[in-house]
Amino acid sequence: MTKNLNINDLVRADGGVQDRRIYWDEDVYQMELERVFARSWLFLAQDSLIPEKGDFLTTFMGQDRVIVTRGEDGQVKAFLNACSHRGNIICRADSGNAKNFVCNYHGWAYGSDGRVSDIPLQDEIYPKSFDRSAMDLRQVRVESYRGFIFGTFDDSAPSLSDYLGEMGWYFDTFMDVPGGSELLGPPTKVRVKANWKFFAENFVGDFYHAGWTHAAAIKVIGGPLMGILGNQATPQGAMQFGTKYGHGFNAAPGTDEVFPHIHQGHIAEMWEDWVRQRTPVLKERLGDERATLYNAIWDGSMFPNTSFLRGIDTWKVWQPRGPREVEVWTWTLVERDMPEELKQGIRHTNEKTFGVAGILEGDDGENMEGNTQTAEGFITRDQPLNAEMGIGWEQLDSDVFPSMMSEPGDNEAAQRNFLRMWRTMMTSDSWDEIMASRSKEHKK
Amino acid sequence: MSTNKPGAIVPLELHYEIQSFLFREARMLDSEQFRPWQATLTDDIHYWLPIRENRFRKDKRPEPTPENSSSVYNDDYTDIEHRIQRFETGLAWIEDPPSRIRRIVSNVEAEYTDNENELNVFSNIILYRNRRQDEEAWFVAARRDRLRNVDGAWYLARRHIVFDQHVVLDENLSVFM
Repeated sequence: MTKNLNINDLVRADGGVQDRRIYWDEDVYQMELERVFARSWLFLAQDSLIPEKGDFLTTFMGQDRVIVTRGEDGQVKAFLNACSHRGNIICRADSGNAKNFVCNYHGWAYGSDGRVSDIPLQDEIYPKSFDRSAMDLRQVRVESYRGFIFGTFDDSAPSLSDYLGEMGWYFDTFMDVPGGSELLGPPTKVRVKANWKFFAENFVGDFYHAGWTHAAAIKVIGGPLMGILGNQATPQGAMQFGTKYGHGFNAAPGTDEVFPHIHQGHIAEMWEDWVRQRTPVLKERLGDERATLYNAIWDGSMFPNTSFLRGIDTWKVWQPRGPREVEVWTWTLVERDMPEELKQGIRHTNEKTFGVAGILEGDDGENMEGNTQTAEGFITRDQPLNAEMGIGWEQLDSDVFPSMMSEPGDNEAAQRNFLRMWRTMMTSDSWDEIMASRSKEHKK
Repeated sequence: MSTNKPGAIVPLELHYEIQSFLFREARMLDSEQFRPWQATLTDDIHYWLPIRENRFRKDKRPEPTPENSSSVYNDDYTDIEHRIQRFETGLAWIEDPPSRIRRIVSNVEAEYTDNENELNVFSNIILYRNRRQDEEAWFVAARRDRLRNVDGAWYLARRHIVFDQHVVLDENLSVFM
């Protein structure tokens, strides 16, 4: 379709203008699977989803199927979910508990470490020279951050902690609370005919759409979000952040009296009590800046395809299914020490607003499909897209907040930062190159 | 009714009455008569669509997911009220222009319960949704309803929907089933 793609021509160097083929073209997508998904840290699981020895779940890294399992030693491992013999899917369950995984085709078995544990009749049908150890399943490099488990196929990638960089500092606002945070599953899943990047960008920095796209739901839910209804005002005191490797978020902080969240009724009161009681603890533990961000509504993404909302408390992965289709996986984000009633209430809010029948989620899906599908027109596809909102207002490492920060919250600084990371990954041959390029940009 | 054993099938005339309730409800939902439909719900309605997972047969965990686990709908009367209000704001862009929705209700069974005013009602539905130029979705589900008789009229007190997809294959499930 599009031969000899020059990625540098598809996204302007500052990220502010994009060629629509990056959201449409099959060749770009295949290159993304290789250069972005096979080299980045991707979300796999959370400790709470596989708490016991032998617990497993199956998921995707890009379009690679993987099994994530907690072994007999309590360590989490991940490996390809494709038999080394003839390539069949090994495990077709979404989750469960198993000591080993047996392929349906010829009965080859693999342990919870992904190593081959049985090849039926091996001694009679394979020569002595057969290299059985080469049949072990391709391992994923697994690391976790505060109980959130990520994997990469690239041994030359920086550590997960370095890859998160300053985003880890921000994540600590809710991940490093006493007891930590956890996810409630299993994930709900829904297929949307849109390019995955439109969702990741929407979550990384698009506050601007909330008051308009979600006007109907905001009007019904009411509360502190009413101020942005119909895009009549930008959210007061909101800020936008972007970190070195493309992660970013918006945050609109509340005050001692105002709690920006979309929980309702009794659960809203429980949430506010919880925040009120936790804030001084966090002030002590993490300092004033993050205590302020703790009582804030956030939307954010971790490059490339993990997103979250705080104050709604959703955690999402955009699983790519080709350039024009994505599978949206959704979990609920809660603090481990919260009372069970509050956790279930938060789950309910998340499902009601950002679940498969969520009263806000549906609005987004429709937009993302539209963004993607109009590019089927030859002339339409040739029209660039724009993300220049707030361009030039970014500041690096302000006295208060690390990384790139910009105001007001209605801004596309984080989207541009995300797209620059994407451009760098797509055009760099090694992580050394990626690190050098991104460090240069994020050096004050 | 009090002499009827729980689980026993209701007689023909009552079956007809219950089936008519479900057909009328289907017609109201297909034609966006949400307020008249809401008037057929009890105040303590539980409208619930849990999610489906692929599990090995030896896995003893409940499937679909139980209460206090993930769901698509887990609504009480207030939640349903919010969904209807949202629709009525005139700001719900995704339903403007409106979708075309038609459902077929079938396999209706009505059984007595241990509450003389309530019946368990089973039915299957096939729901066709057509949107925009050419967007099509087919949804198939079983419904486990509890109908309650209050002063001679039937009301929906519980709807448990067993939905037959793991990955929901259309962009959302924003439709009452």
